[in-house]
Amino acid sequence: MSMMNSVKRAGFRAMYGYLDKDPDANIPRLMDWVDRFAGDGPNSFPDQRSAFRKVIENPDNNWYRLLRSMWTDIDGEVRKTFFENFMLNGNLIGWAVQEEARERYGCNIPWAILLDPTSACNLHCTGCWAAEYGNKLNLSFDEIDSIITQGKKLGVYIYIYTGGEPMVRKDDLIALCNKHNDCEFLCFTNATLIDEDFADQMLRVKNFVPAISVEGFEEATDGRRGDGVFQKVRRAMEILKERKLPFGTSCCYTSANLDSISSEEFVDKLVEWGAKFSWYFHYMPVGNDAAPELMPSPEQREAMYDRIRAYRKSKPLFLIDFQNDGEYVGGCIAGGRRYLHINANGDVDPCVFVHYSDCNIRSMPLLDCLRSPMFMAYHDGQPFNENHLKPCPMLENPEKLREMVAKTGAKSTDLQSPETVEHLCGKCDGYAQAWDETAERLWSHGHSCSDCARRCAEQRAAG
Amino acid sequence: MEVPKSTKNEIMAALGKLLRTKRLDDITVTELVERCNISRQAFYYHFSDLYGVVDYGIQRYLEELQACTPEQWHEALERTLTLLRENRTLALNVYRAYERSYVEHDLRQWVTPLVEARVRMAAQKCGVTEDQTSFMIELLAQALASIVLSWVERGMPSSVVERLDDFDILVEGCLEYTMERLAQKNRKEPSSAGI
Repeated sequence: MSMMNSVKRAGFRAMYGYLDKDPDANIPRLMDWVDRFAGDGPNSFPDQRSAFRKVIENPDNNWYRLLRSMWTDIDGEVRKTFFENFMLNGNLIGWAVQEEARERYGCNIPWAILLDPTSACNLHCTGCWAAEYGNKLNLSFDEIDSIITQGKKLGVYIYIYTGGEPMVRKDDLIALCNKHNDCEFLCFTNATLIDEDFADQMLRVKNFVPAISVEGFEEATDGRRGDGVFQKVRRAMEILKERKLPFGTSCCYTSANLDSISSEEFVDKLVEWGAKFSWYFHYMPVGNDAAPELMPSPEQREAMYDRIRAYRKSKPLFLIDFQNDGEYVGGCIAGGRRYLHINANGDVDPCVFVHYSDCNIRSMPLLDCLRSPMFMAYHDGQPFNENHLKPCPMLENPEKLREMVAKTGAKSTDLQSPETVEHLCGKCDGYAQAWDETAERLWSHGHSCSDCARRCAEQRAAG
Repeated sequence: MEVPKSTKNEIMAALGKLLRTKRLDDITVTELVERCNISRQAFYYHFSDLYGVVDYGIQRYLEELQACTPEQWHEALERTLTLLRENRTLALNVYRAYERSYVEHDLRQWVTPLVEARVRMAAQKCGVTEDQTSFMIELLAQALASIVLSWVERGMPSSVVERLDDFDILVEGCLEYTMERLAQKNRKEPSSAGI
């Protein structure tokens, strides 16, 4: 470990120990200390510090309530591991290593890696490829272990499982958490395989956080996922809450469910059930069998934009709406810029939704995959639009994906039914055109001056 | 893949055997799992690494030790050191894979309960503060850890039992006396006693 990292680690642990001793008294005091050290120079982040101070000096503030709940609702050892693995390794230490690698290799280096341990799933949800595909493909324990080992050398400490249903491989997931106990693991899951025993194992390894998929309330969830699934999901949440284990939810919004899944009633329920974060995903018309009519209309997407921003000011829940939140991360984060996706066949996709690739982890080291023509096309093309409300090279800028696939010769990695880029992008052309006007209006209002942005938000709120 | 409960102990026993022939840092997980006839993931389901197996073995032994009474502390320690001496190669093959500061820290923690029981017994009889009791525990744990560590470093010669006897005489002779002196001091300066 370098000297600098030892200093960071020691400083971080001292700070955490201080917070942990008496969070109510010490969270505000910590900011006094930060202010003293930050000074008032141009790089001292005065706005951010003042925003953070506002949060921590008001016990009723939703962000303060969320932060404080880490001490009331989460097991002490799990919380410590999260701060250490996610905040310290994943960001403070990992970021510096990633930056160095970006500089040295001239390519994207991710912050997180998404991977599918298996194509298998225990449910048979409407419209999901995994239902038809079955237990045909798996990344072996040794392959996933190798991906993580290679990733850590590049500064990647955050691994996110998707699939298939990752929990079909629950013993392997626990073994990987145990082996890589300096990493934080997140897992998109239908939650039906989370039982008491698995939760006890989570408590033992301390670095596994589920993101539970829900379609809304009982009727919507069971309608898509099967009878009784919602009750199983609720039971899983109770098991996790009983053991003070952190979890969040993952919600896909469509033209059909958008109103209910983004309703205040639903978001309040998520908080009540014990979720600490909720990630919202715009429906993507990916695959030969996709249903483009499920893509939200511009009016619906704008409503989503407003609602999530309003909840972020009022609910003790960490909400992200990936398609509308490009402004916080500089647009598209795929192609290894902040993340990439490895499917159960080992294909390294630029994005969990963009299944065109020219590299496979079974035949190439991770670093070479990041330097492959397709990943370099992402690197060179990002951001795909200056307006971060149009971040995606597929959904809002379909011509960009057509171009990249044509230029690099990347092949469809769809496991069940390979789709041509023309077929996929053809479904997005109309959407992109329709969204353009709203995106431009929101972007120009949100990014001209703060007064204007506030007025516009008030007007929108007033209808 | 359902791992039976005894897998952990099988792994520990297999590592024990390997440690009779080579140092801990020369052993690989692959080599160990081949001996146990299990997969790598079965190993990692239970342990983060080989050091985790050593910790597990030590913890199990310490749990047994903690069952002994304060009066038996000397005997417990002697039994531990005899056991280490009987398994000298194994113990040294483990010891040499660690940094000294790490072993010292752990050793201090392991001997603390032994010393603590003894000190608390003496503290009960007189009016000393918790701070003073902790100080005595820390001091004696440090001394005992140092004796054991330098004994290990010298290759575990048999004379340690004699050393322990001397240490025991030292503790027996001065613990009650020191506690009584501290209590006297507290009676004279009640404000600084901080009870």
